Amino acid sequence: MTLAASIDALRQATAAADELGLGEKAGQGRQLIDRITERLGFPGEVYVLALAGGTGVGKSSVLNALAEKSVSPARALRPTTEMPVAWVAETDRRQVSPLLDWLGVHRVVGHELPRLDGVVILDLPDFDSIRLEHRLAVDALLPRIDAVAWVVDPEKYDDERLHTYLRSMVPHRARMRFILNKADRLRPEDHKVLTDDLRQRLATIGLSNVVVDVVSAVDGSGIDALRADLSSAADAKAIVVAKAVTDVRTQIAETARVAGVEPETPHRPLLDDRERAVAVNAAVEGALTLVDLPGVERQVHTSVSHRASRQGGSLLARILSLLAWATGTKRRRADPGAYLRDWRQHGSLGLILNPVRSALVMASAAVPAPARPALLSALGARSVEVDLTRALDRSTREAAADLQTPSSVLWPVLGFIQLLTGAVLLFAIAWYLTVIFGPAGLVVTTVDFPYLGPVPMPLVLVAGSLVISMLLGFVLRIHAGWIGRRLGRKVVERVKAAVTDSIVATGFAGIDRVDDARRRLAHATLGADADD
Amino acid sequence: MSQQLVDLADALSRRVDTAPNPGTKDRADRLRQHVREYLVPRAANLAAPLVVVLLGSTGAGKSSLFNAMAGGRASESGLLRPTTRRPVALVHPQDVAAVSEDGLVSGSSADGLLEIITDPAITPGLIIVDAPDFDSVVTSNRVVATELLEAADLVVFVTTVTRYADQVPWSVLARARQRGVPLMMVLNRMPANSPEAGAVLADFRALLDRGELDGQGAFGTLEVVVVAEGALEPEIDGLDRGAVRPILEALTALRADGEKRKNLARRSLNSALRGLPDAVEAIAAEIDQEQKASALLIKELERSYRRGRLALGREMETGSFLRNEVLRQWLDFVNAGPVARFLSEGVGRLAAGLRNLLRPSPPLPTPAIQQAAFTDLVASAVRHADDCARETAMVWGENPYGALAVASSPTLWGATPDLGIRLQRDLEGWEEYLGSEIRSLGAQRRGRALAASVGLNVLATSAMLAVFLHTGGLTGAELGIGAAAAVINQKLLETIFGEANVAGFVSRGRAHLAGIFDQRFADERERYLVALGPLAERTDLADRLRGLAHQAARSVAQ
Repeated sequence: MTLAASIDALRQATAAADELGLGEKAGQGRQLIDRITERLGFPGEVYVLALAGGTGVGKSSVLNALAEKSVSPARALRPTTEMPVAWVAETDRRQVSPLLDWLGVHRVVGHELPRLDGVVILDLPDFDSIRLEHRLAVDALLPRIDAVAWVVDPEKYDDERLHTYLRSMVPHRARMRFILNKADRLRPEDHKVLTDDLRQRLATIGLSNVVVDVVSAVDGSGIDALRADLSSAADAKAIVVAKAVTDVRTQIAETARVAGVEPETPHRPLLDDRERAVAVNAAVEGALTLVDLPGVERQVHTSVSHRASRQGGSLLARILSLLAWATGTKRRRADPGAYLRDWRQHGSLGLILNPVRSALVMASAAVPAPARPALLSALGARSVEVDLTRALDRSTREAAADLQTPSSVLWPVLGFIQLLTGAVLLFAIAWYLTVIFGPAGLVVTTVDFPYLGPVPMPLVLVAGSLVISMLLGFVLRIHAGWIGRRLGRKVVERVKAAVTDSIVATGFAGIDRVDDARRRLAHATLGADADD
Repeated sequence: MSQQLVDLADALSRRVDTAPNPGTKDRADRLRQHVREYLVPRAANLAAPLVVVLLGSTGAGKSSLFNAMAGGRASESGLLRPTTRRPVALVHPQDVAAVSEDGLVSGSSADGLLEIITDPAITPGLIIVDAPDFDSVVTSNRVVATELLEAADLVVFVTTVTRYADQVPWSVLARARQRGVPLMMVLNRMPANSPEAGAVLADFRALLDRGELDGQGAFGTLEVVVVAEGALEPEIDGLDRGAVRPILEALTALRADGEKRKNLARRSLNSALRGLPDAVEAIAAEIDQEQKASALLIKELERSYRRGRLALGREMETGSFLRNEVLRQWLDFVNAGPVARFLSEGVGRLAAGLRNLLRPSPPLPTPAIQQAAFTDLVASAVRHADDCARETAMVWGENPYGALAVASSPTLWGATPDLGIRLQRDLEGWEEYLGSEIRSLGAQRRGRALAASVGLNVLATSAMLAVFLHTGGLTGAELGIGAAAAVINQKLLETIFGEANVAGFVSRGRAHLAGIFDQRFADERERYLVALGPLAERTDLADRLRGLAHQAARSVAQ
């Protein structure tokens, strides 16, 4: 896997970490990319090898023995080396100077040994003395260093402090070697016993097949071999790149671990299909209950009949309709738009919220506890109430927006006829009244009415107009009911679709986003580990 | 005084059992060992054999020194680190009982680990223990070594020229300083003919001074015995006895003189007692801090649940949790069915009767209404419980102890998953209770006939709604559907049972219902206290520890 590809994978992983709320990991990832970019920006084919170890194991002594002169003062007082010292070939000196500045190494000693160019050897301070600042200096430097030679001695090779470092750097084993110093203190036959023991211990923490050089800085044994070993180790560029790739891989793997993503197992959504379907159905059902579809339908129906009776009703119906408007009954019972917009007052929001929230909590159970709060935020658990009510507000408002109470050409026609019938009725009544109660002087001729068969004409007119008015009212009701029902069904279908959409899009969008981020993180991890 | 020390050990045991994390547990456990295995037996008997412990880093040469003391190959010294994996004690046969029975060296981890070598040739009175190292990768060694430090009357501390500035040994020495144990110091592996030998020794002494250990020598000022590199006696597998003569001589002198031993034991005991308040204070301060933190957490928890319960109460008072559909069904039913006829009078009654003849009476919606009302009430309660849980989890997450508690289960981020089911069952029980009230009221002389004409099922539903819906003193004309339903409901019930009776059972039903939700919310809250574990309990342990430690320290003067 090339470095460019692995950095791409890290970018993906970092973006995914951001979406999962793992800001710390994302920040580390970006820092690592910056660090690698900086490191690769330095010219030249040189890598940095650090001599690391506890105080007194002989890091400086080994370096001095390699150089055959005093590069870094080695003393018996513990701890000795306070600042890292770089030992470089004179030919490399100029080109590595910016690199050393970047590392914060300011003490540089040159050499003219053949074949030891291409490597900067750093003598580090200790990591186990009472001088805490030494350990901090080592901790700050180690991540920027390309390869490490751990210096140990027969007294200190099993220290917990050393092994803590080793355990954390197992992925870098390919660029690690061990120098067992103070061989002069051992009987020759013990060399192998001790190196075998060291190897076996390293193998138990995952560092098998590492190189162990047995040297003595005091009598110089093994130093030549070590020097030869170092000079033959070679392709500096490859070491630098391999170190960067390993860092990237480790960072991605660590991000995946924190997120609870297991790249080895096939991707599993946070909620399986069945759990999700159950939650979605419950939430949609709750939302529809709250919006109250039968109530909406009834309001549509009532509003249509109100309109119909205003346009095509009898006189009485018109008066009643006016009364309904005046008392506010119409507003309450015949305004489907307002009723829709008012959905939150129709019952408990828990009907919608509970299934969504419990699904989110269930989903969060899949990740390790420390990542859970961030994941819940990413899923939207904290904002779901606001988000859902907003979304439903919007979708109900939209559904109500173009809700026009329909009309029909039939109604005014019916209304006109109703008016005529009303007029006839009034005329007939007036007729009766004038005849019966009118002043005698007005009555010109007789009290005889025209008769239609045995029935006096005014009575025929009254009865006839009443019957016609009732018939017309019946026709109007049938027609308005039909239109109202049709419209009601349409509105209900529309509201249903809008509400369902907004529940799925708002309540469960977080899960989709997070699932997608997790999939990408797993993908990045697998990509970074490919062709290892 | 022994009783106080035993009490102190017991109090520390309680701390060990309830400490919230490994670090604090460990600290309490170490002090407990010190009290139980050193202070108690030593305070009881100053004349018991002295426990001399050889402590040092891996590879520093403890076993070689031990062999020099034993005059033979007693503890295996060797090339491979760490060598000594179990402590070895060198004792006179007469003192074996003191080791194995009186518990002078029986640290809990050392139990069964301690290897005892008896030598009838030595003079009784000393138990010399070769401890494992405290800095190798073998964790159990570290545990045993620190235990032995707590049990020692005299510590022979072995370090080397390579090691003398290592951080780990100095942290061990800091504890030795705190408990005031008399010390002897060996600086091993001084390179022969090193020009810097003097400087190294001076540097080491300076460090000892800075660590305030210089006054802690077993005999006067702290002496550093320097042993040269390679000063070994292969036949005893030990250090050259000439090189460590000051130590061997000191031990011989202690063996020979019981009074001297007693004096050393007393000095060691007294400084240990004087060190107790400081050692205990570290633990007591932790307890105080935990108590403060947990009090804060519990306050937040209670506040959150109280708020949630109040919010639910408000919804229940106005009945706003009821879905409109329920109210509409009920109104449709009472306005159209036999109920309407029953409620109206005169012409209205006649009209209602006629309407009933013309239109079929709507079906009795009782089971549907009741089911929906319960679903709504449960949803509302779960929602508020869920709010409380999430709020608590979020607030607790910002505190280390709280975060640990919340991390114990993902369900703490919401209401208990089966809370809804439990509440549903509770409500069914409540409904039965309400039904029995209605039946007993209906059985009374006045209401019987009327109740029979409307039907008990209808009355039970009406009673349930009466508990959920308040009229709030307003009339139904200009109000929403909820108030309209409330008014007609009230009218129906009061007509049948009388105003006073209705008021009585409504308030009883309401109280009963409130009790159910109080209980469930308390259960919900309880989950966090359980997760918090021992921290949730108020305790005076810190002050008790302080008191006992000060009493023990005061007893030194007597």
